[in-house]
Amino acid sequence: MGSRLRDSVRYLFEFFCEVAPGSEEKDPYMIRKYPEVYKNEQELKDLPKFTFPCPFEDSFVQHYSFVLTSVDSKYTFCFCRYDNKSNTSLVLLSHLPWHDIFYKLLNCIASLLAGPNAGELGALLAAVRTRPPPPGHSLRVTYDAGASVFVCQPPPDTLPSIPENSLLREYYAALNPGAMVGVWAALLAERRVLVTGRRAGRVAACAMAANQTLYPMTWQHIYIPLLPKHLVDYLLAPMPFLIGVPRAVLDSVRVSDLGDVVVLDVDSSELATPHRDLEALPADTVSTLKKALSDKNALGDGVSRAFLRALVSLIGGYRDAIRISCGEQISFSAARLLAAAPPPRRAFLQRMLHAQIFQQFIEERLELLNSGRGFSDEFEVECSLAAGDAGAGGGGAGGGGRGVKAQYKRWLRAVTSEGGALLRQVKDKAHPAVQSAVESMRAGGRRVTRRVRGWGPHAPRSQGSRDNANHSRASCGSATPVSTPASSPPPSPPASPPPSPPASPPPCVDLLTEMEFLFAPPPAADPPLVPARRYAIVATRRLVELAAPAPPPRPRLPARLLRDPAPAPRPPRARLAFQREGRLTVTLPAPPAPRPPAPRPPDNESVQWDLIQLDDPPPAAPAPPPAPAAPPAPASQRGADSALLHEYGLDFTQFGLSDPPAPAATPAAWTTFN
Amino acid sequence: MSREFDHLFKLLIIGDSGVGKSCLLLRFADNTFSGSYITTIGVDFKIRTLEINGERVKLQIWDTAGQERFRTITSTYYRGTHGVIVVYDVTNGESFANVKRWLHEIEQNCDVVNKVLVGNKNDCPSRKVVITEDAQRFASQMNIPLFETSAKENINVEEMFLTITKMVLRSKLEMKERQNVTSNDTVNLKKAHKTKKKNCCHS
Repeated sequence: MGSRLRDSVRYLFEFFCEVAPGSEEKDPYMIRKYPEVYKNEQELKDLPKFTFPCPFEDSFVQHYSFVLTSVDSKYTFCFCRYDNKSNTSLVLLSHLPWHDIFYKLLNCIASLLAGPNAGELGALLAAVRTRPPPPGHSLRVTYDAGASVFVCQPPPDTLPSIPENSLLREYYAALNPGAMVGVWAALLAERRVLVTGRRAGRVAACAMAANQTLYPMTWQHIYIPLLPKHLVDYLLAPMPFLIGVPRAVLDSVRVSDLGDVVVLDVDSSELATPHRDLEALPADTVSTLKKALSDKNALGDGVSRAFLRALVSLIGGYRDAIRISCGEQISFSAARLLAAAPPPRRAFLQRMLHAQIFQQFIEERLELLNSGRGFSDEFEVECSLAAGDAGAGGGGAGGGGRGVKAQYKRWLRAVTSEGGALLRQVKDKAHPAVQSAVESMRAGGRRVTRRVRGWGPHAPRSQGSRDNANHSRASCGSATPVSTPASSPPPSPPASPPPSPPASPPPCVDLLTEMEFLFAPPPAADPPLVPARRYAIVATRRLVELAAPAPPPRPRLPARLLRDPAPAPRPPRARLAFQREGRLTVTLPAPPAPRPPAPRPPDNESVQWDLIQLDDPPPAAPAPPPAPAAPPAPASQRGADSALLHEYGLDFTQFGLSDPPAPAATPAAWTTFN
Repeated sequence: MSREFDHLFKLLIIGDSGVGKSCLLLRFADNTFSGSYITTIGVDFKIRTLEINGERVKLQIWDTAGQERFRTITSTYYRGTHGVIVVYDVTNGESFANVKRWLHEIEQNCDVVNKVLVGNKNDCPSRKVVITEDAQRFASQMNIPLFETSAKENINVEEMFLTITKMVLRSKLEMKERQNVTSNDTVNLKKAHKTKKKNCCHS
């Protein structure tokens, strides 16, 4: 719902092209492209103009990126490498915001084109245009007659950090703390925000980084990190926007014509705003944030965390406003939010209630709660920490967390006694975008989740029908950061094949702790569970190495190119179980063997693919749930969620919700903002 | 440089995707302005200049992608606009439910006074599910004009745009009048550089 990233990503990149800047008389144009046939012609029509939004003065190689928005409001990320020698830009389009990976790939392409084996370009692109590797896996492609290798690993699900995150790095280098905080305040107030500067790349990077500082919320309005000259009239839009405009483009309009815009100049680090958004924020939050941003040693996630903590102090209290009454949908009470907030926060929260960004955030959280999925991410962790600091008084952000937990438990008990109809109803009606949000939340979950996900593809059953090959939902790192716990427990023995459930588990063992133990990372020296597989591309005498476990060969590749050995036998599944108000069975499946492209049978096969199988219908549950059918969440999702739900002290898996009946309709108006 | 218009108004068109917003805009727009960017940057606008009571009015009508993902569209979205065209599809009950919710939100939290309700695709009686009486009752209750249109057959489209334009113009002139009464300042239209005045709440 809140997310602007696509639910499922089929290819690591969608499209490649090389663009020449044209001249005074001639518009920028495409020199070459791959694949030749691309579905979205409309997108391509303007791509050259986006690539060269203004004349480039710089005489060096530079990377930059921009974003397109499709008609369903989802983003396509475009990564470019401008070479002053060839005076062209290489461009990759992808649905993944993996900046550094695509910049690396562009370098590979450029070095290949500059060498004697430039003819291999098509083969290299064909090999890389494959399913994105799932978290914890990597894709290796050898090119340049075997002399070079491109390795792609999904970025870790952590908060953006310096120097790894190129956007944040550029943002922090360009702006002083005052400007950063000013833009942040303007974005929270949903102003018309314009980022400008001489270099197009820096402008776009700063616009995108400014968006990142809003995590866990997501900018919901017009978002054009790099605006080409021919679209300059779009600056007249009366709605909130976040638009990056190169100085050369902005010079063609009179800023006074634009009305009340906030202008950030990334060259001078100056912010011009007609509003008093910064003054409208609680003073203590602003001063703490500025102080944290002024830290000279900004390495690591300090900058991201400073913004996150500021948001926790502003909106972390949303937990206090979650209204839980038995037999009803969980809802959000604006009145309760205001009542629970300390007086200096109230005016700000009153305004926040009228911001789309906050509304979507709340909607997303409610959907997750009502569907029984729950969530836990870096934001919630910080909220809990803040609540802990506030002490038993509970005056601070999230102070009511404990009360919510208890209420939520009661609510669930009531729901269970009604056969879980309420939960099923919501769960079944969950908007696809919510499910994507769930995915990203989960991707951003605890280390447990990451470990689990790392062992195999995670199938989005509910939307996998269109693209059966796409079972790995790529996690989009920068948009769904999570923490790497600073104090992770010492590595335990790998969780691989314990043959049977522990004989007598402790009666009240903490589920989460138990899982942490089970899924503690194996020592680094351990061999992968399945040996790496190789597919030789005969035609080009190059190797595409897919690190374990190998995704299935894409049907698109000509069969003759693949010498595919017999599928590796699946290692035995691990089954772990222990007692906790019912029996929990953890099943560690084998990494995937190549799958046929035919539609996946929904039941037994899917269970095999799941990472954690939870089959613990309590005695009260109506019947053991049948194998998951098409719409409901897969068992593995429930498993991971159950761990995440511990944030709220819950275990939904007790309620046997795997197979919700189709409800008639969503109850009207279960969110109240009055 | 003399302006080619006396007033510039910015309107929003809202409604689920698939209700025919872009078709309505195409019907309405000046032919000279072409090209659609809703599929590349998620936002689009169309321009048309009209003459009403001797005054030249330039209209920009703005559309953004994926509005149906919003349960409510909050007041920040309407801030800075002069009027809203709310579109549903008479053959799609859900699209009507969405606009009802959105209009209630506008009513409660924004003072955008100029709104019209548009039931588009009104060209196939057998497929019509949102009956005129229901829509009219709702529109009367919200005190806004209702138009049932067909962009495909070009039925009632022109009337609808003319009506909202007149509404926006009238409220602007009224506001000016009030300002003139309260303070004796004269307002020179030609010099009024920023023709847009905030109609919506600042929250």
